[in-house]
Amino acid sequence: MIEIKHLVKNFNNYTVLDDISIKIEKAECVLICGPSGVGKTTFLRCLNLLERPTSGDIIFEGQSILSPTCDILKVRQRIGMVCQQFDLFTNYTVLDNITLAPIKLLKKPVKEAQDEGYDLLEKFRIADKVYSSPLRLSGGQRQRVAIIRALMMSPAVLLLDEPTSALDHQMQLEVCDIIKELHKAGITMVIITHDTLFAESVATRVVQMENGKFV
Amino acid sequence: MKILVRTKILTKLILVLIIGCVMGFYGCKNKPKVTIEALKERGTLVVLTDPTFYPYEYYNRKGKIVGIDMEIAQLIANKLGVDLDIRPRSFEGIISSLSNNGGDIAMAGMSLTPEKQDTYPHSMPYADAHQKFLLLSNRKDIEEPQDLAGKKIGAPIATTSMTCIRKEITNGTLKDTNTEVMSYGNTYEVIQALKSKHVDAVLLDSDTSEVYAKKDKCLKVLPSPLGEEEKYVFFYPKNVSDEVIRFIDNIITGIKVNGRLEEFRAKHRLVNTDESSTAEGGWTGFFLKGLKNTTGLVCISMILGIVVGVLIAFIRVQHRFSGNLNLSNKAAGLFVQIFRGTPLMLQMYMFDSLFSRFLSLSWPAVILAFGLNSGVYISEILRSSVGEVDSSQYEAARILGFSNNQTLKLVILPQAFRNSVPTLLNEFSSLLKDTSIASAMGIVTLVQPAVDLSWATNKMWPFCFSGSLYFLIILLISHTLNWIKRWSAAKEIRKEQTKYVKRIKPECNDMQKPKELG
Repeated sequence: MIEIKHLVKNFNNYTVLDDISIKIEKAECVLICGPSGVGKTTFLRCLNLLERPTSGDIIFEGQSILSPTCDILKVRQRIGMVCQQFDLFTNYTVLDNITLAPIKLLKKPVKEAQDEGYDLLEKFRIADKVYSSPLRLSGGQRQRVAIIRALMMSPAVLLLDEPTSALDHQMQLEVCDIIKELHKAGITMVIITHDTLFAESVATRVVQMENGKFV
Repeated sequence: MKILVRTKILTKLILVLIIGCVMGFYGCKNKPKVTIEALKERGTLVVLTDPTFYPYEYYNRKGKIVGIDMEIAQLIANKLGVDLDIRPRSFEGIISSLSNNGGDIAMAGMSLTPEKQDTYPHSMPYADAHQKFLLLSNRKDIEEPQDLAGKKIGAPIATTSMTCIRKEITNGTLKDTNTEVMSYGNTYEVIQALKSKHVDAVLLDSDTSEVYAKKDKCLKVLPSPLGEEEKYVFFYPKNVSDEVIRFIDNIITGIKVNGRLEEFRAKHRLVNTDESSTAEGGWTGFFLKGLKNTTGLVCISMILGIVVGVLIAFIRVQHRFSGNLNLSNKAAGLFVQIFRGTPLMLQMYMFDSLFSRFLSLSWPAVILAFGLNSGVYISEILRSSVGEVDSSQYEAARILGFSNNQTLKLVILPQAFRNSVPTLLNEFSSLLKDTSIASAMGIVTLVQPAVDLSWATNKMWPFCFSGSLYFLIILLISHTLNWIKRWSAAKEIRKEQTKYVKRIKPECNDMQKPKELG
């Protein structure tokens, strides 16, 4: 599904990612662990080209996303990502936040997108916040909305950066259950986490990262 | 690095100079000669004047331009059988208007100086001008012009009074190292400077000085004039025909002989001494005209400013986001620097002297100066509001797969606009108050009626009245902007608000009611 070949990323002479090569198969769930500052988030950001790699190649579904012929916008629609800061659009309500991309990019009918969105909100138990502004939500609620926003695009790959960092234990278990369901549904996942719960229950592979390399 | 910076600055300076020279050397257009036939065919006589020179031309209580020169103008128009088109300009603007045929005749109490004598065609003299000093009555220390040596004297800029003072300072009665001369935009400002004791005395045309002294007990005029007598004439554009000059000279001779000129002088020298200001219904027209001009000017300038501001901001934001439009971005940046770095008043005068070559109205120059000036400030406000939007919002949109343009349109710009409303309101409020500068171009704003009425009644309340009118306008603008802000916020949550409320389970206690955002 995703093949990374000799990926190198430098920021002004400082090497963050040092010759990383990995192959991620379809419906795999890869966990990336490691101390802070080793380059986990940078690696994830390279996968959907938020950061342009200094050298190396990333091949997604058979085509290299670094080549000029590749339509990166279409690729990004197939790769969903939830950032560590789970930024929601502050000028839209929760419902509009999650339905904006399906309506504008996937050209879904508004009613259909809103129904889908509401179902997901109910599943994550924040249906009562449907018309709230994101500024009024707590950290955990925002994180759930960010995950839903990524899921609404029905991505082939989901990249999660510390998805349970702001959640209490009960919520962590729930998110873990949802990840398990998604895994069963066949979505490929790459997750950065310190949570051992994930490692035990859902991961197919655990990769340690140290000094810009996988060990 | 230093050399690179120096080269950049030098390039910018050269560009500015080139642009300035090109504008300055805008060629004269060849226009047909001003003949009696041409005037009759056109049906109007275009008269250029500066209506701040009492009693020759000034605004009456109804906001109409009247005066000795205007009476003569009406007489000429009647005899020609045409309509009269009086166009107010700044005093300096009149000469440059004439040099490119912006009008048919300049009637503005202008004296025949040796420099003008040879360059411009003119009529025969119709009035004699003495210059007399006007000062506060309680100055017992000053009885003769010589007493003013070493003191501060004021006069309107580019007038005979000014030239006279300077001549007397160099080798005349005012010669003293301490004598200071202060110049002001027009007669109003000069009188105000005198009353607020910024100067010890002001030099004005004798008619003007005598009338102000008669009307206001706290002013007195020195009986001895300063310098030599000057003659007032009318000036024509260079391509005027001799028959027009002869025609008008005949009229002048006629009114001197049959006493009508003296009638005009008497009429306008007395009218302002009329203390029956209880007839304040007459002032309503003046204030209304000022209000109309001020609101019109501020609205048009705001709209032009927004258009210009959005255009410039768009170029600069696009360049920042996508790296395109490099040349346009640099040009826009230069444009912003020029307009932010020069005073509005200077820009206004520049546009006026530029446009007077082919337009004889002040309005286009004023609107353009205000609009462009406001536009660059608005562009900077919008640009910084866009910059203030957190880059994480931009990234979140990019992650989902939105293009640059979609991100701007859907996420960044709505937030930026909402952020910029308070600062925009600041800018519009400045713009409103800056409209008072337009009075230097002869346009009636809310300042002249207040000043005139205050002097007529010797009270302060007209100033408070004008001030409150300005305040009301800004209140209106701020309410409109805030309504727009609330409307654009409500937009995000007004779609089908109640649709999902019914589906929410009754056990949920913390149901959020739809509220306005922030």
